[in-house]
Amino acid sequence: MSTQTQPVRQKSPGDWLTSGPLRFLVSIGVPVIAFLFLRWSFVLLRDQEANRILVAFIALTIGVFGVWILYLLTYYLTEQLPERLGERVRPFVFVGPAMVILFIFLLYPIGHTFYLSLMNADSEEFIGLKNYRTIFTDEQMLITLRNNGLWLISVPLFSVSFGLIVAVLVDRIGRWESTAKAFIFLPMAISAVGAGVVWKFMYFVRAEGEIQIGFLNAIITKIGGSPTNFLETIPLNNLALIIIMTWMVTGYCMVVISAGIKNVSTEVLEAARMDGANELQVFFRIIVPIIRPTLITVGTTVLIWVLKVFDIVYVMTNGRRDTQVVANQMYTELFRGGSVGLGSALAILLLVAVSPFIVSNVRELRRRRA
Amino acid sequence: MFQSQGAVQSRLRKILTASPVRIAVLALCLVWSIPTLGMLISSFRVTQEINRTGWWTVFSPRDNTEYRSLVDRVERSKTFAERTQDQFVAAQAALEAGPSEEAVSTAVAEAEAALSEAVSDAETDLAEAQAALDANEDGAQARVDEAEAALDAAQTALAAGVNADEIRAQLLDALREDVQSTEERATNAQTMLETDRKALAETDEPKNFPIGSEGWRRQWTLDNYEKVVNADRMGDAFLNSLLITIPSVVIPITIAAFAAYAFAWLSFPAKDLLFALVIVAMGVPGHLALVPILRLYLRVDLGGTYMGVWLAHTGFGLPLAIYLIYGYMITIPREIMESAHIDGASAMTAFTRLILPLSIPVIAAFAIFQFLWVWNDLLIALVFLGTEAENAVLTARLSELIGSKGQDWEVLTAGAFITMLVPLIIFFALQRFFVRGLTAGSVKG
Repeated sequence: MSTQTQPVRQKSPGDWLTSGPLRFLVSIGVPVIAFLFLRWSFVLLRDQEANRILVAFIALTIGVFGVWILYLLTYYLTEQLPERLGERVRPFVFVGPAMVILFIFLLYPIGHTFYLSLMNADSEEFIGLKNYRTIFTDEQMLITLRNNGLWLISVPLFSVSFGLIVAVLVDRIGRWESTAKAFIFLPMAISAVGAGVVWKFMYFVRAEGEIQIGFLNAIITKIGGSPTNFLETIPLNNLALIIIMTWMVTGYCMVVISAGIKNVSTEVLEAARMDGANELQVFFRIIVPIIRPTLITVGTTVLIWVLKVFDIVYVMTNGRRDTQVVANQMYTELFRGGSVGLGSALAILLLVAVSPFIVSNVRELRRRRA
Repeated sequence: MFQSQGAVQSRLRKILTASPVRIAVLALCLVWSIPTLGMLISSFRVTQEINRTGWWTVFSPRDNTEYRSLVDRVERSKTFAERTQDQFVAAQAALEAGPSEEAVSTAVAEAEAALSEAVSDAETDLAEAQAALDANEDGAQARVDEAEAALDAAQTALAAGVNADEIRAQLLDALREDVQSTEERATNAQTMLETDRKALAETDEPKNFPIGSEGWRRQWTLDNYEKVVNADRMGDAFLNSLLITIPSVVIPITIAAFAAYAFAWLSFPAKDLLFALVIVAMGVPGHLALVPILRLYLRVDLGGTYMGVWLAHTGFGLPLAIYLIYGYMITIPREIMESAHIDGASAMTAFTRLILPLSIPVIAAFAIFQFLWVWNDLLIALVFLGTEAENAVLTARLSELIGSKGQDWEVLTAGAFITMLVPLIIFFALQRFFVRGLTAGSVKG
C-alpha cells in the first residue's frame, strides 16, 4: 500500500516539508494519546462499583489486546512517513517499547536507588555512605548478613547435592522415572507463601504432653523426645527456613542435572564398568566431572534465587529471632516504616552481590559474538 | 559374545541394584510429598478433627482401645440394668401377691418362739440377779427388781400371744420397701447405661466410613473452602490473581517478541549495545526498582492500578523473555526470511505471519514460567497492590491470613490449596513443556 503511494509523494518536496514534521509528530502523538486513553480507562474501570466480572473482562481485553493495537497503530503511522525515514524508524517501533520499559523499570531505578541509598531515612538529607556503614557495623544488620551467608552456602549445597542424588537414582528406575521426578519437582510450582503454610503446619508445636498435630513434633514425641519449637529456637530456626527453600528448589536442580546425566554417553559408562569401576567410582570419577558445567549453572541459578529470597522469611518468621535476610530487611526498611535510605542501600548491596553474574553474562555474550 | 556378556552383566547389575534404588527413590518421593499431603488432607478435615488428631491418622485405623473399652462398658451396664430391672419386676410381683398364709404362719410361729425365748432369757437373768443378791453384791437389789419387771413384761407378751394381722402388715411393708429399693437401683442402672451409650455414640468408630455417612461427615468437609472463599475473600483474590497474571504474561511476551524480532532480523544503530543492556537488565534484581517505580507511579497516577502491576511484571520479565525468544528466532533459517522479503512482505507481515508462529514453542515455554512467576509472586503484589481484601492477589491475601489466623489450620490449609490450584493444574497438564523449559533456562535468575 505504502510502496504505491510513496513515489507520488516524493515528487513534491514542498509537500514533504509541510506535512513531514506534522506526520512525524502524529506518529509519536497518537501512541501517546492512545496510551493515556488506555490508562485513563483503567483508572475509571477500577474506581467504578461495576460488576467485577465485567470489569475483569474489560481489563483483560484492554490489557491483552491494547499492546497489540498500540504496536500495529505505530507501525501503520511509520508507513505514512516518507520511505527513507520510515525505514529508519521502523526497527525502533519493534525494539523501542521494550527498551523504554527496560530503561524505566530496571536501568533508571539503579541510579535512583543508589541516590536514595546516600540519603537519610526519609530521603531528605544527604548522608553519604552512612547507610552502608550501618549495614556493616550494626549488630542486627550483621546478623542479617550472616544469615544470608548461611543461606548462600547451604541452600545451593543441599539442593544441588539432593538434586544430583535424585537425578542419578531416578535414572535407574525405568518407567517410573517421570512420576518420581514429578513428586520431587512439585514444590517448585507452588508459591513460597503456600509452601510457608505447608511448612508452618509441619513445624507446628504444642506444649509438652498435648497431642502434637505438627508432623515433625509428632515424630519427635513418638520416639520419646520433647516437642521442639523449630521457628523460635535460635540456631535451629535458620535451618528450618533453609530446609523450606531446599525443598522447593531441589526439583529444579534435579530436572536440569538429570538432563545433563542423560547426555553422558552410555558407552563411556559401560567402558568404565567393564574396567572394573564400581558404581560409586563411576559416579564420582565419570558422571560428576562430565556434568560439572551443568552443576555450576544450576548452583549459580540457585545462588541468585537465594540472594533475593524474601517471601519464605516474610511469611514464616518475618525476621524474628535472628532469622532476618537482606531482602526482607530491605522490604521492612522500605515499606514498613523503616529507613528508605537503608533499604535502598540494602538493594544496592543485592545488586553488587549479583553483579559478578551480570558481568559474566555480558562476557559470555561478547565471546559468542566474537 | 563379548557384547552379550556385557549385556548379561548389566542386566544382572540392574536387578541387583534395582530394589534398593527403588526403595530410596520411593522414600525420597515420600519425604518430598509429606508436607504438601498434610496440607491437602487437612484442608478437607473438620476443624475439631484437625486439632484433635494428626492428619496422618486418617490413613491408619485409629487407636481403638478407647472405643473397645466403651463398647465393653456399655455391654456391662446393659447386663446390670437388665438384672436390676428383673429384680424390680420380681419385687413388684411379690408385692402384688402379698405375703402368703404360709409365710404369715411361719412368721407367727417365729414370733411366738421369740416371745417364749424372751421369757426364758428373762428367767435366767432373774436367777442370776437372785444369786448376786444372795452373795450380797452392791446394787444387786436393783438388778433383781429390773429382772423381775422384764420377766413380768415378757410373760405378759407371751400371754397376749402373736397378732397375725400385725405380722402380715409388717411383711407387706418389707415388700414395699423392697420394691422401692429395687426400683431405685434399676433406674440408676438405666441412667448409667444411657450415659455410656451416649459416650459410645459420640466416639468415632475406628474404621472407614462410607461416603456421606454420619462418621464420614464428622471427619471430612468442604466447609473450610467455603469459609475461605467467601468469608476470607480468597474468591476475590483468585479473580485478582487471574486479572494480574494473564496480562502480566501476555504483555511482556508481546513486547519481547517484537524486540527479539528486531534484534534477530532488523538492523539498526547501536544494536549490540542495546542487546548488551538487555543482558545487564536480565541480572538486575527487581528489588531495586520498587521504590523508584512506586514514586514514579504516584506521580503519573498509576498507584494501586492493575496496569501498574502489569507494567511492573512486564518490566521485570522482559529481559529474560527477549533473551530467550531472540535465541530461538536467530535459529530460524535465513532462507525463510529471504523468501518472505522476495514476496514483498513488510517487516510487520514477516513478523506476524512468519516469525511469530514459528516461535510458538519458546513463547509457550516462557509463558508457563512467567505465569507461575507472576502467580506465585508476593513481593511485587505486596508493594504495588497491598493486602487489602479488595485488591489483594492470592499470595498477598494468604500471607495476611497467616498473620491474622496463625493457628486456624482449616483456613490456612484450604487457602494455601486455593493458591496452589492453578500452578498444580499447569504443572500436571504441561509437565513436558515444564521440564523442557527448565533445561533451556527459562527460569528467572
